[in-house]
Amino acid sequence: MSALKERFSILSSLMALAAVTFVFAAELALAQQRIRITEGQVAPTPIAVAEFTNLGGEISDAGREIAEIISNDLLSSGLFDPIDSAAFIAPPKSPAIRPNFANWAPLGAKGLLVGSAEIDADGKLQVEFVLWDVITQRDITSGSGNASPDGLRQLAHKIADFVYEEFTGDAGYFDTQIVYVAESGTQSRRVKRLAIMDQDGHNHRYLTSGLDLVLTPRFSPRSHEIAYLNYFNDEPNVYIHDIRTGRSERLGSFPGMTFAPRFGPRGDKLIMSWAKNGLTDIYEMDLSTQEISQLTKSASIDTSPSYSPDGRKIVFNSDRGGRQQLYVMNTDGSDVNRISFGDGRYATPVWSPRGDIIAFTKMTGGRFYIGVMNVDGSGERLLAEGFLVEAPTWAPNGRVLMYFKQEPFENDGTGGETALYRVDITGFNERRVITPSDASDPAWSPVR
Amino acid sequence: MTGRPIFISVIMHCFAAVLVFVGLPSLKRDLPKDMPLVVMEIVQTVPKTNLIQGYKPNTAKEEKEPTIRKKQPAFPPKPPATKSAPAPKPVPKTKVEPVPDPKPEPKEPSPAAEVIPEKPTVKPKLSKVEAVQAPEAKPHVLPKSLPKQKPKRQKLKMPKTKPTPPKAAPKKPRTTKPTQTINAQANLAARVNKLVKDEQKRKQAATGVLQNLAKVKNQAEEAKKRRKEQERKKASDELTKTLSAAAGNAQKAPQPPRNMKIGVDVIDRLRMHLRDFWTPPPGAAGNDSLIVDIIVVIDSESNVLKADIEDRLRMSLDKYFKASALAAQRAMVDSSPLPIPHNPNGQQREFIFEFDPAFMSR
Repeated sequence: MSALKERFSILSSLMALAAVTFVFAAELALAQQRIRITEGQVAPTPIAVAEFTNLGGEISDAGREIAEIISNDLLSSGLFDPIDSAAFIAPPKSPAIRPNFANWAPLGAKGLLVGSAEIDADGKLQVEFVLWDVITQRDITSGSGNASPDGLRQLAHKIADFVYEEFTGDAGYFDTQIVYVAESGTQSRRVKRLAIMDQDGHNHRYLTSGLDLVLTPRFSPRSHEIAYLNYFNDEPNVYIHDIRTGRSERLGSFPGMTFAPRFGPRGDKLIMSWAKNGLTDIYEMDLSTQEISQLTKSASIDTSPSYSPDGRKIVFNSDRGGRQQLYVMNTDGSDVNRISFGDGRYATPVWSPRGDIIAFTKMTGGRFYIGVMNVDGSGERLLAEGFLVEAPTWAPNGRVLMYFKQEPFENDGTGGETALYRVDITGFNERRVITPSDASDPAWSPVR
Repeated sequence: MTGRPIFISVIMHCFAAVLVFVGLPSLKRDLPKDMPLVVMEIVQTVPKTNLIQGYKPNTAKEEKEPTIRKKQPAFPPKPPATKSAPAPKPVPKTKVEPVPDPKPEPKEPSPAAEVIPEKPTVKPKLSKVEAVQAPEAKPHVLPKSLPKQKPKRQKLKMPKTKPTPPKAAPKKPRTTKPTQTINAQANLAARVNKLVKDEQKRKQAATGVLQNLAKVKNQAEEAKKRRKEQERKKASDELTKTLSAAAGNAQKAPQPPRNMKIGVDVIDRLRMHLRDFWTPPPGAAGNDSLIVDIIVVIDSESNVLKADIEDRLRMSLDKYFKASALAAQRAMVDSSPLPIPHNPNGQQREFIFEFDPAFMSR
């Protein structure tokens, strides 16, 4: 009986296998032909941003300004090519009305943003918008919001973020701020102040008076705190500035010099360099308990630490190998590995918010460069070059880098102009960021 | 000992189940509905006209068959009669040419136009589909303007004429109604009787004539009835055969034309063509997993009727994939018509386009 059962089970298994094989073969026979497309183009996406209308279908001043801000944001990214509104055949009257795509396709537009902006009885700005795909004639996304009239720019930046995200997959970064060191005066009597502005240069204001020299500001992930180095009474120390209250506070009292601060990914910790007794090492401070732990112990200069987005690794630069290079270690200071092996010196590493690459400053052949490399040191690419190019900072989406460039000084002491620039990680679309005065040491805020 | 075979059996069944779920992805997606297929037998009857005109759309008419098929069940007995009424007219006119039937074909074109609009589901294609319909209408016009084509098409619906053409005499009786023939015969008989009575004087000869005439009448009547019955049977048989063949072919015909393979040279042309329309999002750079499959349905003139993103679930979960998928979908729709040779069968075809943004990382 057992032999019979065994034969039966084997037979049934084979039949099942045969049935599956048959179905699988039938599936293959009916499968559609696959055509692999491996070539495309890298070009800005043409998009039409219609001026926002009021309830009566007329273009309002607020609507015109909103459309202009969105267009400028998209244009500045280098990934969009907003179409001049003068070319519009029949501007839409309302986001509630389905546009006639026959009027937009000839313009080459792939996207169409239609919106309304109206100030209600309470004095609030009410905004609605719909983003259309002109090619497939479907709505991609839509939304609405309100703000006080002074919040118009922020509202427009947020809409631009929506558009950016839908077309690129990356989160938008237009509703962000830049804190930087505003410089003025002669080379010998240079005044350096903390200043903050929107990423497009608007809403500029100073955070410090300029009596003390300030350097290396860094945003907290909570976006309302800024850590920076302040030379108060000629004593350099790390301070925390609260944007909401306008107050600055020294971060503990340390003998020696603390500098190069940077917040942890959750904003609860801060790493920095501490120079004491002739040694410069990296320390981590728990902001809630004020406890400090030493992460590196070497006779060399370890500085410019930066957390990985997951908070598990730290990248920093050190001359422990005889020349300034980049190293990665665990957050407890263990497992230190060198990742840069190119010519020249590497400094100011910053881990991308996406976690995939690290930006750095490179000095070689008497020139400065801004570059990126994979977290294991491979795939090094240089994105910008100059007499002095330094201090890269990432946009929150990890697609854009900002840094500053300084021109050489002339013999008569003139020159030395310093300005902020930003570039896409592809190395294209480098743009100067307009500031009221010379600018250096930028830091990009998280999205508000 | 008994546990081993059971264990083997369980393993094999599990393997089979895994194969089904993992190896048959198409079971999880909704494949586009198959369009009714063309009856190839009809195409074969019109090759000459196709060659002369160099015109492809004849196949479009074939698609009309399905719509006719639906009507058949109600019509079979009557339609032939109603159609045969007008048919006789052309037959006498072209006694020598009575090969094809003009009426069935001209009616088919309109159903074909009805079939096509069902295909487009993607909005942007609507306009393109309308554009497709226009050219298809041309073939309908052309055959009308060409008198030669009409007779050829008549073949299909006028099988009755085939057997009859050789003999013109039997056709005439058809046109005369049976009541008329009976009256004529009665008159003839009356006349003969009168002649017989008047000429009774010629006794022997008269009786012989009457008998012969009666026999001739009976034979003629019987022959007519037989012919009519035979013709009706033949006509109905042919109609049912063609219609059932059409229905059968439509249901059983193989699908290959829908998934007809294209050559390497055409694929290269497609790649070149799509390169100008496909702009992957920058986030796709360095992301090898952002390969998007688009299921594309094109009509016989290679216009894109449908471009569906295959992995819709991932699209809702992964914003990078969503942007990549929408960019690929835009490229497919925007690039219509595709540089693929037209399908001579007039049928839709389906392909899967795999968009791989690896070039952005080079």
